Amino acid sequence: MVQSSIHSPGQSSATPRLILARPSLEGMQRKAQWMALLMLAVGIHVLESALPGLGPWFKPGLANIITLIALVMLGPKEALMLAVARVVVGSLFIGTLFTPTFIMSLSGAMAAALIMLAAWRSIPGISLIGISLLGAVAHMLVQFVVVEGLFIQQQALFYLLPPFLLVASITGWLNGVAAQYITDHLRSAMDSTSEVPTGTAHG
Amino acid sequence: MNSSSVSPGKLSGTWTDRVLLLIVLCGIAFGWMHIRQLAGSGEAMVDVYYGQTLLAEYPLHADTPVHFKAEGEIGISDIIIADGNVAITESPCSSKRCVLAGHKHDIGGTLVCLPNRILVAIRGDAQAFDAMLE
Repeated sequence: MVQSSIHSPGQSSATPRLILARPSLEGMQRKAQWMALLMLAVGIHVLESALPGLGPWFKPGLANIITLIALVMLGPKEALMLAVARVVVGSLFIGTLFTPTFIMSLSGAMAAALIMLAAWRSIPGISLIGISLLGAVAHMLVQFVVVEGLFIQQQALFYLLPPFLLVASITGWLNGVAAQYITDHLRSAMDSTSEVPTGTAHG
Repeated sequence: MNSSSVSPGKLSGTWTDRVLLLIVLCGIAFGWMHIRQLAGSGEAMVDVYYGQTLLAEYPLHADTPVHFKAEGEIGISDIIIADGNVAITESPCSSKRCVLAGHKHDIGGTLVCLPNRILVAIRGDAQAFDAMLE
């Protein structure tokens, strides 16, 4: 964190000095967690692209599990940033950056993240399973709208939508179950870690 | 953890999740029926589009097989219509998912090559399809 301007060794003491504030440990931990989740999400994104095609644009959406975990662990802003960063970095690895596939992935991921954040904040009693379901449906709907708007301007395209939405609902539900299971275990693991006395060596 | 707003639910979901699933499934079922209706009935026709442009229109059950080369964004997609089936047999795209999608033979069946911006759709009679476009 830059608090004032740069100070070189030969300058007088009246010159403003550069002071780098030390980031808090908690802040560093959160950034490290975000980076770890991003790497995991990118890995899953790349792995999914290597899977045999289950349909023209169909993917299981496993990387969305990581967005859900980020939502619970780190918060909505970090989850949204992770969803966008995952698509951009993943596309760099796959070689689809700025192609139609990238535009579809990015629009779908952003829509899913925004809908999930809205559901998380505004629907009482919803769990990660319902949030994931809504995210998967939003992802698929927005992909179709983007394709219809930008690439193939034919409403006959929407013949494909119902079966795709059905599959997206199933995978969204299953991904939500996985995310719920993981976050429950992470929560209990973090609770047990917080009970460790200060000064105990880890790792 | 920042989990105050999320129900620590069971793995089968909360009641809210189940209600949402029901709403989504009902929406899909309604949309499916609606689209099937709008796709029409009667003689099946195959339409080939590049973006907004209709490139060709053939009956699905023609007496002789049709081999159509659709020129798209990145090259030529080979489309075969034979024995009541339509398929994209060759495509310039890298993923070849349109080719792997196989044959379509029902009204409402659709093949898409997104990189090449080619759409192949089977529809019923023209009247129903026009109604959908309106």
